[in-house]
Amino acid sequence: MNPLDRYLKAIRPFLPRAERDDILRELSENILAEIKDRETQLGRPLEDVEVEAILENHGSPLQLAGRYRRSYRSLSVGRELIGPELFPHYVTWLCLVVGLTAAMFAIAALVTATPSILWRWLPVAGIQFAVITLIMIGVEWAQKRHRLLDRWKEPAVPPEELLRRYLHALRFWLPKPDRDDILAEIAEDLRSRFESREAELGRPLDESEAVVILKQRGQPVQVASGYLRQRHLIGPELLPVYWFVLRVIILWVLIPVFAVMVAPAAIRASTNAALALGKTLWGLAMGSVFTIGVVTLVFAILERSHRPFRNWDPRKLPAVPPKKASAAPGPVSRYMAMAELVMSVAFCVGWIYVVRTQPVFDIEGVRLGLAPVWQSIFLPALGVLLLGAVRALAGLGRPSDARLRSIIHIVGNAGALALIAVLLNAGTWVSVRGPSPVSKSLTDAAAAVNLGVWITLLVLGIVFAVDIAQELNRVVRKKTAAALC
Amino acid sequence: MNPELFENLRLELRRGCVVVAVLAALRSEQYGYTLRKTLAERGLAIDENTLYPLLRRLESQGLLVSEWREEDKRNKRFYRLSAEGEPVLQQLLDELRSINASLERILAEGVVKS
Repeated sequence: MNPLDRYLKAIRPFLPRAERDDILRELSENILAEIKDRETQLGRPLEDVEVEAILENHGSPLQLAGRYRRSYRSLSVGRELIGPELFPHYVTWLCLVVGLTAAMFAIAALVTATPSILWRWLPVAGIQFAVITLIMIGVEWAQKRHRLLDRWKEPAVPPEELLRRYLHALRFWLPKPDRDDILAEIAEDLRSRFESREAELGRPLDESEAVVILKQRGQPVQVASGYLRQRHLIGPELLPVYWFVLRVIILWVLIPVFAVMVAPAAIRASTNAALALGKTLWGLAMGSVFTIGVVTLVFAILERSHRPFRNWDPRKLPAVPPKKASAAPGPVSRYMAMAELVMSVAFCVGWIYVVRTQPVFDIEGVRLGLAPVWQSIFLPALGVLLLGAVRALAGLGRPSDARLRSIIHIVGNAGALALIAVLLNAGTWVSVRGPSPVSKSLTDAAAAVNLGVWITLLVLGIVFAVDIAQELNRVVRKKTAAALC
Repeated sequence: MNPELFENLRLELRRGCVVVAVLAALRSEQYGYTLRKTLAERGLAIDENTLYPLLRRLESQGLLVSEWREEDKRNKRFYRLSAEGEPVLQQLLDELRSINASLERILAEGVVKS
């Protein structure tokens, strides 16, 4: 708050209520005009001290407010006990306290139907009158001596006290071992700056000048930070690897698994699709937070345990894979295409045989067989396997058309991914039957086998998702490269 | 040009030079305040929040020595170049001159070609 605002705020309570705002507006404009005149004379903005000098010429707030009062009544017994500035307040308080007490006595008389109670009010009112008068006389005396009521200037803090406060605040943030030493040096430097400024001005510094020097030096926390050892959780050497690992885990593993497997399975299993989706997203968010936490912790430990990049040998770097030498894969060899075709056909035949014959393994009376879900995906799965054969045929017929092969590959893997999602939703993939009644050990064995299949499907899903992403990336890159050429 | 980018580059360029300047100025003993004034008068003003931590770092590296001593009825910490710091300063100055000369040659070549 600037000095003028403080001054006007101090005047406000002593002004007549009806004209208060009007008087303050006019007063403010007059004083501002005076300040501007002075600034024009000096050719620079006034400092707070100079503004305060102008305001002091206007008188204390109480004196100034008194000039706007039309009544100059006072309480005097030989000499003035309550002056005209405080007299209106004295009357207000007297009326308020005595009036309120009178009202309370009147209500009591009415309620109890005993009018004689009113006579008891007289001595009480007399005591109240005496007490309030004495208090106001005391206030008047204190006001004359100490100007208690119209203090508007904030008490100035001596420069040395400001320095002590600054050093005290700084002390908290400094590193413990060198705290006193650093503090002594900074104190010495600041005292030198105070002295130097005093020599320039030819007088001791005032509060505002000391404040300028301390502010130039900076906030205590900021100053202390220069003395603290640079610390980081994960340093610049490991940071790129950290980002890479986080990106891979979240973008290429977590999100695909949730999008392709967890979300569809949760939605199909639930009666409320929106709720299931919300729960899945919440699970994804929590999974991401947990992953970030774990990866950060691992890297923070790595950062502190050893420096992996200090002792490296160029000879130990992995060889460049031939595929990566060029963004665009070269033509597929006939041998590879033939091998792929043979494998695809073999897979198709195997799939047809397994699903149609429904083989059952009998191990000491315990019969292991395929669950019905495999039968339900027979045709779509055969289609996906046949796509592998189509891809091989495309390689044989158009060996240079890598884009066609990539597209078939992506479509095939996307189909496989969808089938995995359907399978995961089924919950049981291997049926285990035995002599009835079914024993607990048999139930446990069935659960263990199904858990194994579940993990396998999950891993396969991740592999397919990553493969699709890589293949898509390759297709896009090739397209971009072609456009650039 | 982005002023923030220039400021970052300028600070990067100054960082090493400030170390050399401080070491060179402390061939004669000074305390922090007079050192800062000296450097500012020679055209290399350094913020005190940079200078004092730098002095401590250089002292911990053994390039400076310091002692608290009373002067004008006040305790002040005086710094000077250590015996270990002298050859380091010499090496740094040689390096700086070599960089300057290289830069001059590069700039001269640029002028001739254009």
